[in-house]
Amino acid sequence: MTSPVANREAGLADILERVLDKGIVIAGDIRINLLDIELLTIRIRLLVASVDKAREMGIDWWEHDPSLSSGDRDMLEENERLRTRLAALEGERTKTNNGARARTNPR
Amino acid sequence: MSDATRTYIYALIRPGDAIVDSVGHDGAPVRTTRRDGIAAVVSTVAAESFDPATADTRMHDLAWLESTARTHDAVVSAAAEVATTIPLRLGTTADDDQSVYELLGKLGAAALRSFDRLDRHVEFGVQVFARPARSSPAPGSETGAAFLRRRQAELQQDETQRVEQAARAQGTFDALRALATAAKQNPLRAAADTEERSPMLLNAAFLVDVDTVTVFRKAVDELAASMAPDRVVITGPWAPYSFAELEL
Repeated sequence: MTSPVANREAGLADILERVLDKGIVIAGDIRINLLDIELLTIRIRLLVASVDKAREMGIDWWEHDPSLSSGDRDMLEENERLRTRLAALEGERTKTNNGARARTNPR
Repeated sequence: MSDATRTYIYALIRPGDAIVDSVGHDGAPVRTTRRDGIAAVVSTVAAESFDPATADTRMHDLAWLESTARTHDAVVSAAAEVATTIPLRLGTTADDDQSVYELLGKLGAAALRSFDRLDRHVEFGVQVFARPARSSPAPGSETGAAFLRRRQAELQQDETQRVEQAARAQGTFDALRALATAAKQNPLRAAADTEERSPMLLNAAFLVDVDTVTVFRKAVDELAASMAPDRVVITGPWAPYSFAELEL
């Protein structure tokens, strides 16, 4: 009998959701005292201080792009290249037209 | 930052005799720092790799993020296979091993309480995806009025379907929660899943006793059969990411 359940290998989105949004947060300066004398301060750093901070940075892929894979990454990079190229071309065209007519901003 | 290396912390474990055999970031060997019945699973990393000041660049480098996330999870999973494990958030680093040792002194009591709760438990993810949407536009010559009537009926149908779907998802969650030690619903992901390409109705995590895993999986199978053509996807076992807590 074939099971209707997909016991899927964990996708990148499943992993990102856990490693970026779950798991405990330990961060900040922690003072270690011995015999009431402060001996040292240990600094625990977190690459991204919080999930909210990550969202501010526009990093919420695990919520919006669950399909991310190496293939999609290539596509994202390709899109990025195309956007850059387009912007360059638009820039040239603007120069050529030299303000002859109003131009709508692409995106 | 002048220090060239830092100590990356993947997880806290109750070590016993456990040896975590895994490779960390940049191929560095994983080791444990022990103190008073708890241990940190760590490896040495280049300080610049996890400097919060460069986070913006790092986190937007998807190749780096994917590799780092997968390595982090691989080490945490290796730890969870041999010991009760509290996963830490990706990118946690301390100045050096001595700092980790001191940190363990601070966290000890809280970690031990958490270990008691997580002992012999694993996490499963269960997601439900809606059946594929009806293929709508009936081709052909329709009068304007007929189009509007059909459109209105469709919208009503969609609304009814949404309500039913939400109820089925909640039913799935409730049924599985009854078999789990703890359960959580995570935010639904906005876009369609890779394979399913249909809206997500449920994105849940369950903390399951290792002795209940077979029963839990069977229940998921049965629910999936009863819910077709909605699709039920199970992932795991995971280390208990969604249920790790540390109250200091």
